[in-house]
Amino acid sequence: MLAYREKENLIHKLHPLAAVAYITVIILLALLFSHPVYLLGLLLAVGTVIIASGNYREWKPYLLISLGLITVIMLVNAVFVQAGSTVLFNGPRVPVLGKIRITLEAICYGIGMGIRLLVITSVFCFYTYAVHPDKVLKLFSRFGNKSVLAVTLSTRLFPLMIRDVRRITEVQRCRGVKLDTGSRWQRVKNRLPVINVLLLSSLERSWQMAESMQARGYGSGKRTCYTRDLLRPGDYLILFAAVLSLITGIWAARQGWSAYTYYPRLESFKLGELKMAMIIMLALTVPAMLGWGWKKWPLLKSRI
Amino acid sequence: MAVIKIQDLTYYYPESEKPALDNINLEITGGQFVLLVGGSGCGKSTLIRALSGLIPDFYGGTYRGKVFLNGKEIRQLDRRSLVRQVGMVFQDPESQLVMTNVEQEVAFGLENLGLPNSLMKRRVMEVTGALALSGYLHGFIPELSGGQKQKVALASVLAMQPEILVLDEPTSQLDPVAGEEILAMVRRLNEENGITVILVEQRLERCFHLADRVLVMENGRILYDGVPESVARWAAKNKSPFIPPLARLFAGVGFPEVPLTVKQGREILKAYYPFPGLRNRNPKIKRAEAAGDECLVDIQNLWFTYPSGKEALKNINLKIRPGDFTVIMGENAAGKTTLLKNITGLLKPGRGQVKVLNRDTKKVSVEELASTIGYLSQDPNDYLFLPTVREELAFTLSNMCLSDDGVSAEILQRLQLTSYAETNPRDLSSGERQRVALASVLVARPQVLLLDEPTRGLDYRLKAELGDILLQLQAEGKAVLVVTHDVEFAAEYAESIVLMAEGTIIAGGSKYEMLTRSTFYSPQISKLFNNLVDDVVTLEQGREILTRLMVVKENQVVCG
Amino acid sequence: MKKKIFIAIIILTGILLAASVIPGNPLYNVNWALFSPVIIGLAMAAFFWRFEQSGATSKEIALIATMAALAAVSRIPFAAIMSVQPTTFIVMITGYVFGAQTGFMVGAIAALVSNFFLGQGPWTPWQMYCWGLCGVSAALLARVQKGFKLNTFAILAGFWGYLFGWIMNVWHWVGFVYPLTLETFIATYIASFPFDTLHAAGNVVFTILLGKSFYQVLMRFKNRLLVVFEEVKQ
Repeated sequence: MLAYREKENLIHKLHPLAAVAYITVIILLALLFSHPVYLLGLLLAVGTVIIASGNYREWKPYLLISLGLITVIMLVNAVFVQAGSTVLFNGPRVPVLGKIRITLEAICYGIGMGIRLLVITSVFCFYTYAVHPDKVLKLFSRFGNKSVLAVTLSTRLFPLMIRDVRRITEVQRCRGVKLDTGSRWQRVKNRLPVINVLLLSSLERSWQMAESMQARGYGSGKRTCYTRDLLRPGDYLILFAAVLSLITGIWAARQGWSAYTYYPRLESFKLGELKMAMIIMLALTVPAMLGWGWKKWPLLKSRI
Repeated sequence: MAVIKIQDLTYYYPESEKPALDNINLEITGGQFVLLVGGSGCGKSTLIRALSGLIPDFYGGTYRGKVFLNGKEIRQLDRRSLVRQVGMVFQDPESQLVMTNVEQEVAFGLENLGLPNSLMKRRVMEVTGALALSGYLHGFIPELSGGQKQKVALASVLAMQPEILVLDEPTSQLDPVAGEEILAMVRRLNEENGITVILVEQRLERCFHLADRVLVMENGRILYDGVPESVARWAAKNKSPFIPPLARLFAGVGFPEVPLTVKQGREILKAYYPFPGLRNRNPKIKRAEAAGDECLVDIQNLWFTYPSGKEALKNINLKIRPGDFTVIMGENAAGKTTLLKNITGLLKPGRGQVKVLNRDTKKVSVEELASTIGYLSQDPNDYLFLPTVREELAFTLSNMCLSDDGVSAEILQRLQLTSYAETNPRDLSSGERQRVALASVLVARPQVLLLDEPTRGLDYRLKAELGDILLQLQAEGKAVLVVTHDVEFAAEYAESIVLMAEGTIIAGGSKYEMLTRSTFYSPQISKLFNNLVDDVVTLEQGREILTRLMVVKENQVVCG
Repeated sequence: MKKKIFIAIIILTGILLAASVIPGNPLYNVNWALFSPVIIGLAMAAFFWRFEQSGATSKEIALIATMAALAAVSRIPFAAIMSVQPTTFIVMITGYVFGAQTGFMVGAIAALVSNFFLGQGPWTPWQMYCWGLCGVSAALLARVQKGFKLNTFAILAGFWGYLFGWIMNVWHWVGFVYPLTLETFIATYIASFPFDTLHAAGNVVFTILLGKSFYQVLMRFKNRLLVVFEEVKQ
């Protein structure tokens, strides 16, 4: 069913607004920064929050997939980018691409971008496992109820149709449809009855769904929006931290601190420019800190 | 005062020549519990859709006549006030819930009405509390059971506080326990809150006595309208199948009183007690063991565990011989469906073995077994995707590399589908669709036929037709194995019963042993004669006893 | 009218993207990684906004949700056969029958919803956009021809196999490769070529196998959606 699993901790109970703001800020900053230290700061922040939300196990496959992608990115950069000046390896001349020349700068650039990719996949992992899709949809339904309704309905139908597919497949197999023998073309062809049955049955169901919506007054006028989510002090804190780090991040970017020049020669780190990375990282670990505090001190539980 | 008044209502569905409603005139008083009965396609669903305004707004078509709600013509009302007055619950819980979580589903209608948040919160709280849904307010709807889903559907309608509650076969897709629960709720709403209820239902033994008034429909017309007792008598006289089995039994033999419930029936019978010399001739139908011990399916020490670790079948032993008609009964999740899948070869035994015609299913693929074992699933729609009925049959034949030696024509004839051969199966009614699905299975001439909940959603007439087809197959020496919750069907047609619970076979034997002397797993007829006459299971037996009772009574009167 | 807006959105997206690589304008050399998702986001927002403004009825919403879920679920029976899935085909045929608006919504929602269950990632908005455009393009094709023509539809479907991969490459290329030279661009595209070819082949195969029957079924349903009722007065 849903990838999301409810867990007993503060982060799972956050107001969707706080969670979405947090995630958006991280994505924006990850795309804005190119400085490896700034990106690493973001990664550390997201990592601690994921661990604090009890989703380390779910995070692992994301990390593995990202590592695969990162290797590809590094290879593409290393092999095809001729820009760096510190040559590590001089390869043979290859048609089309020219002379292969692997440089330290290109590898470092690959690593930097790898961290960026890790930040982004991690934050999506956080979104998938720690934020209930319903809550987010509910948040957006203020802006567009029709599209959100379509998405919600589709989300509800998805598991139902997976079950349908299984059942229909079984039924057709019992009717002698051979799924696992023959050529690839034959196998594709033999699966078509399943898709055809699913289409026909789903369309009939869509009619009944529409009827049920109609009978409950859908489209009879302006809708209101039912909500019972309350903003707690913890949510305000996280919202504040997210906004703070966004502002700091933009300011650092305008100063040119969060950018990093890889080519033609790696730039040296200037400590003064890195202090903002520290601030942003700390601000973005606020949910993790609150989460741990929430678990450790019952008093804090009642206050935030 | 009449809450609902219908005047000369005639309605045609788009592109239809035959009227779905034919000059309906009807008045319903507030607070009544009205039961609407009739065969499939009689117009009962159409009539309730006309009350809720879905016809003609949603369906289109040709519409003539007037429907008044509280004195106002329905076509003059705006949608919101209409929806607030009439709430509608549909047949299939799966296809009427639109949100992913319970709370939001209940709030859905309220949002549509544009109510303020504070009021919505109150209504959601009230209605989920009243229907005992508070426990899973945040539940993910696809993970709920069918009965829970139907309760959510009911709650989402009740939250809008309708004056009139219209229900279109709300229990037809549920197992008996969940169905009972829904009906009990509806009854409470009617008795305690005074909500007018209009119920369309097929399983009349549960709701006939609840109604204040019963309407019988046929061909878009209201044939009869009256209190349940008078409808029972009228139906018996006119050979209409739409009365509960008990009433049909008593009225059918011309008994002076007609009971609606087992309790009333036993009251009536007690007047005749003690029954002078009335021993039921125990119909021990010894099946000709001519077939010897040839086994079509032989299940030995079958154990099955799902990959998730759930032990679904434990030490099952079962033999299926030619000419068997066995019904498997038991709670949900008792392992019935898993057992069927082990026989079809969809699942392979963990321990023990399943032999079909002496071949171990582990060594044979599902597709090869398919020509021996026919399987009809719950939802006939899972079979139908071709443009004509004839092609559906031809598809099965070509899958199994069989040639058509006139078998399709024969099967179509037998299932009364010949006239539909060139029709698109998706244009047929649900009963007809089931026959097409059955035809597409039977066309391969399987020796064993497995059916999963075949009576779900069928009315009495269709059930009887299905039962007769199965009996014919049995007579030809085919083995029939049915999984069902429907005790009445099992009692009438089966020969032996197997009870399952928690993955084991609890008991098995002839229906005369299995379905009597039980409070729950017995048909109304057995309950009626429990401790009065032994081993009564079928309507035929009941009829015989009642006829004899009447004769005795007459003699007494004459002698006295 | 609608058609113009769709085309305008597509052209504008293209211009914005081009502006940032062609020297000599204010957008040149912006942070590409940040810039491209913003553009995609804006384009999608425009489509969603149009849908909100339309008078979509309960029937249309149920249809969109159903077709989107169907497109997403249809991957499953074919999962055993590598890289073949009818999702793109289903999105396109829906757009072809029901028009650009529905086509876009079905494509976008199919991507979003299947990722609720498979895991969201940075690829989600791009997939939404790509499948959305598949639906739109099929709808535009339906405007220039009558009925269902296998050849043109199959060509478009095959073309989308490649285009889909190419658009998906963009986020990969602009976000993580530097400098953005022709060589790195070509390299990224060569890397994805085999996958794109499979996707294209799959689309063509499904068009041939399912095109006609899906078209007929959906057309039949479309006719049912157009409610006409007449009230006969005595």
